[in-house]
Amino acid sequence: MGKFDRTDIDIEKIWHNPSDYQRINRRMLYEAREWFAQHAEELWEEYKGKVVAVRKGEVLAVGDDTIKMKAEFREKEPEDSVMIMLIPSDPIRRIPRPIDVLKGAS
Amino acid sequence: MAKEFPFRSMRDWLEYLDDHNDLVRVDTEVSTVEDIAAFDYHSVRTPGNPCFLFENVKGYPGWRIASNVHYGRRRQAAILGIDDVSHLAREVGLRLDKRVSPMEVSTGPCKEVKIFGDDIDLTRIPFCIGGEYEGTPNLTAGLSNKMDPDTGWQNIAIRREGIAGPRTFSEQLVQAQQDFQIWAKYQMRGEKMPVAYAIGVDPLSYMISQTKMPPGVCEYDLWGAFTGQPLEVVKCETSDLLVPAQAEIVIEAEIDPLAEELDGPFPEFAGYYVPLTWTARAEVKCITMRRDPIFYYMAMGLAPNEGLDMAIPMQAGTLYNVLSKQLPGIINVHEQAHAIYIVQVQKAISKTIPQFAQLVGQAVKVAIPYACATLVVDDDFGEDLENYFELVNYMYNHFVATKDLVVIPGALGSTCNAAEFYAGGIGRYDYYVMDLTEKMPPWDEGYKRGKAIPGKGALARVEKELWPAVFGSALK
Ligand SMILES: [Mn+2]
Repeated sequence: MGKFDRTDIDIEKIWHNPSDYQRINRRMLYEAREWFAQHAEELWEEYKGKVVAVRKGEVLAVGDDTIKMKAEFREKEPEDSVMIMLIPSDPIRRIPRPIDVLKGAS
Repeated sequence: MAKEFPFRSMRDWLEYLDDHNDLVRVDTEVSTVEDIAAFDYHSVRTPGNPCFLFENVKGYPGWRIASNVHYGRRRQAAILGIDDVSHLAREVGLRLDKRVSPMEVSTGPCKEVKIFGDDIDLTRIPFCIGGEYEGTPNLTAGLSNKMDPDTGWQNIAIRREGIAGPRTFSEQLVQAQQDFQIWAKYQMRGEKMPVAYAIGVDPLSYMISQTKMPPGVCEYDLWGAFTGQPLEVVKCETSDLLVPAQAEIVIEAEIDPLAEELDGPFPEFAGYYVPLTWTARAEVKCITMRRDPIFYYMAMGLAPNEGLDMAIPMQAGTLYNVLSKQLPGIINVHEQAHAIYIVQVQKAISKTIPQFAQLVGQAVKVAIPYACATLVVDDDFGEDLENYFELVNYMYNHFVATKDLVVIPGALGSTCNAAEFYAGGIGRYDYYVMDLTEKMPPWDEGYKRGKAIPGKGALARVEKELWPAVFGSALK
């Protein structure tokens, strides 16, 4: 057995008994991300150049300072559960897929 | 039979570091949100550059996270089995022609636990955030495995994946890289592209993934170039991709030919955040792991950082290998910063072949398409290509911009460079070559007056006699 092998850890058990942080905070964060991506173009139209605090289904706040907003939501909401995102003022960048490049050429 | 390569897994490497008092085990609670990245930030700016095993991770009981264990030439030389630390890139370059195909085995530690279907949930894995403008975590230390659907060639690289939801990743596939060309084939067929992200692999697999091999060459074939033995790999559960059997975690996914995902922002290893970007979307199909997995976080962001530092000898080694086959007089190569290369050449060659530095620069740009700049120096530079003062001396004493600078305007860039013109999807950058070699006549008058240092006799007398007399010990 190696020095860093641990027989007392069973990931299967841990996996099926997630901590509150995994079950609540991180889940909320990933769902916020997912919702944001699904509505990214509309959100960009409305908030370009601004910082938004996002929870699944809603924009909780709009501001100008990412760091300030992060601190604010750390107090109000479960820690690290709200996605704070600076929305670019330029259109959201798109790396052309090969298929787009070919379409453009035809 | 040859002695077995000692670091077959990440655990073997952690054990070696621990046995050499070179691993800091942290039982203080740390958060995946910026804490670990901040430890790494301070470490790479601190003598000795400590590396870590975090054993108390907030919100992730039972999980351990290793970090910074590939940072620094001393550790890299030990991983590669190379004694000559000061010529690491050249020694790497000399080994890159050997190929040993990986050996497929039926199972391995990475298959101890298998998670499928509804049990797949990325909230369970301690993905980290490295910077304050990074909205959600990213995977920074996944070996991204992809296969050419026509030839079966498997390409390996560390890509950076964003966690885009409980079961999805974003992955930036950019034009200058081989996996973009593989992805193009799946798109044309209208098929999904299988991908496997291997996390916590042995240190040599991480390092060889940073070479730039030609299309058709699998980076795993280089494992044996350094060890004389094949890398043991296992087949994925949901595709024919092969991954290192000793990996801590393997995440198998599929990239849809058409679906797009929002990626970023991310504090890139080149120094600035890459912005929100529409890119490829990968849906997780299966996760396999060790029963007691150790996660790996590789720090990126403003250099120095582990990700870039580990790539330096491997990319410079690739360049040494390629350049020394094409051009005479190549002595050594170093990557000074991301995509900025220093190539050292023999003065005897550079002073006789006109525009030799330009030829070197052109060869670099072919070998590494996203190269940003190449600085060509000669023998007088000395052996340490990381010597900042010597570089600055060269930029002053060996360079007249109007004649020693070649610029290729609008060359392909990397999309990581903050100064780049984006041009709707392809990074563009003015690639340049600085000829810092000693000049041909009549431009070499100044060098004939000699380097402004004390005479050899005086230097030797002080070193051998006077210094020991004054200090009581030899000059180190
Ligand atoms: Mn490759």
